[in-house]
Amino acid sequence: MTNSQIILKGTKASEGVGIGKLFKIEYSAIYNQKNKEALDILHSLKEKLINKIHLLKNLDSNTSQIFEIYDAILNDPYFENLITKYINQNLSLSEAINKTVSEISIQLSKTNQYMKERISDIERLSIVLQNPNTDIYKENAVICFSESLAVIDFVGIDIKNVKGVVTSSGSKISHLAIWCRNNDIPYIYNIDTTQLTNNLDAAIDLNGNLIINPTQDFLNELKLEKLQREKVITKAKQFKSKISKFKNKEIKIGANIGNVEDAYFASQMDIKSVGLFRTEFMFLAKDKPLEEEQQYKIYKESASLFSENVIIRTMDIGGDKDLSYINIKKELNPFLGIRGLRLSLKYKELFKTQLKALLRAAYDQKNICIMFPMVSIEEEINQAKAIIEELVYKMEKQGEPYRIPQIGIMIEVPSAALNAEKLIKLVDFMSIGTNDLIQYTMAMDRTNNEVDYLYQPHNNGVIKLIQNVIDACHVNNKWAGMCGAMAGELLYYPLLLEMGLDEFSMESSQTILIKMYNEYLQNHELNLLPWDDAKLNVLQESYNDFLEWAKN
Amino acid sequence: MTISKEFELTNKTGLHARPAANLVKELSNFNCNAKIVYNNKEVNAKSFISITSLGIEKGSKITVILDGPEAQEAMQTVENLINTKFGEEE
Repeated sequence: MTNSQIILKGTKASEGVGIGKLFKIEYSAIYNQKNKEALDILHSLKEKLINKIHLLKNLDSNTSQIFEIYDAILNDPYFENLITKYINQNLSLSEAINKTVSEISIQLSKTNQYMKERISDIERLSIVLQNPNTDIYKENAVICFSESLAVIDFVGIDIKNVKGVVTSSGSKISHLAIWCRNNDIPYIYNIDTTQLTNNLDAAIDLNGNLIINPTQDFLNELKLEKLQREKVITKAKQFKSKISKFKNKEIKIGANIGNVEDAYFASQMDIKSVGLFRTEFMFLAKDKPLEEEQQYKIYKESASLFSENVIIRTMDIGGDKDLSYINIKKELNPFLGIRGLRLSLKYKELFKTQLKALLRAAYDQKNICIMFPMVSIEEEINQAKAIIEELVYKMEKQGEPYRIPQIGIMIEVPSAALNAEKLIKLVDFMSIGTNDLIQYTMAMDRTNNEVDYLYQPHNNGVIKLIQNVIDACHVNNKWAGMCGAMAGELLYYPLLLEMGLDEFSMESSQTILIKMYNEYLQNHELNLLPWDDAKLNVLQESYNDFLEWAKN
Repeated sequence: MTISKEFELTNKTGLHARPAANLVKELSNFNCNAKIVYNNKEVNAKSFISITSLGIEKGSKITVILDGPEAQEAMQTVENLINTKFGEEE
């Protein structure tokens, strides 16, 4: 009898392919001791763990940081006092440790986003402290899983047989995620680990799926993919911190982010700038609007991680993204209705709160830029700028620190692209949002699969609009960027370069591949202009040749 | 003797995580009581959890109060740590 293949969708924290048997990391020590006996055991457990931590050597700086934090907590009189307090209240040692660690985790996570993202590491201290000597040692390839895990579960052991890590709760910027990336171990989370059992055959693929009982065909394909990917990634890593150039002009390669976690992830990948911070996700996730202070902290903390521009887009609500706490009328054509800047100008209070938080954060972080989405006409830009003036007037009067940063607009509306010469006079930069620009130009609903074939970034009509935007910016000594999906697609990269685009913004993990393609193109010029979409095959061939080159 | 001094934190992450752990570690070598005052809250400067819980960010001003036989030397060490930005990379 053969078991059928099951695919579970997870979230990638460390990308890669791994094949092995499922292995549950589970510790079970429970200390029921109370009073003096409990305190004695506590001291010996603490000593064992502190010794273990001090013996760890050759860790990278990110990994050692969490152990310094463990060390600091274990040696903190506050920590011992709290445990002692609970033991005096007649709790058992295990209960007292669990309660203390959980309280401390909550307390520390409230201080800033960075500590908040470390919460899984800190919570793990409770289990590790009660099991200081447990090591995993496995002779066969394994994919380790548990409800939650931390780096300390893996140190001091031979990790060459750890082919993957799977947890229920996790984060892209936890120390475990960083450690897995540094050691090329695939790690996915958001998987219901209660469904998993020991010793089943399993695999992790590049899309962040956990495959249970993979078929032989599937495994063969995966092994091939793994081999090729390893070659490409090894090569791509050489270009990670290299400055990309085209005809002596520096090309900015930035990240698209949606929250502080993404910002940390991007900065860990050596990305220097953010071309698009989508703020609406922070609003959509909540049932009430984010307060000014919260927003201010998020913008400031995110921008502090980058040395170059961090372009923060004011909320792009409407279209396919709805807010529960404002009453937006049902529209027949929401993509052509009240969305983006149109919505912000209608619900001014939300917009003012966001702009004020941005003006304050821009004072602290000189690299912050503001960008308005879905702009059609000059009047909208003037209205938005008038609101900024009004805020500045009040802040000036109250002596609040602020700075008016560079202001840009997104170009998604075809008429705005054609009218770029006029609109650019009012702003400092333009960034092209290709997903909507293509949808509006080709009259194809991007949520309707039937018209998928009309998603054509290379179409002459679309390219003419993009060229017009780039030229209008350059004539006025301003820069043009792109933050839609097209900016991260390798296929179109050579064309956009030749057209003169200055900045490309995309998902963080895509940046190293784009940087590598940029290097490749230094010696493989295409001369695509004047463009005609019949030349798509030239782009396709170049892309194929590049992939071959990258694998070798 | 009791001495106190005000500092502005200029390192990237403020008094969190590694910088806080370093400060506590250094202070524990000295025979003195140590306190940090920030935003009208006073905590034990030899407690990592207490310091981190203050949420002290870059650009904040804190007051360090030391009391005991080695207060003088301890203050010198605190000053060095803060001035060298806790050895953090920029």
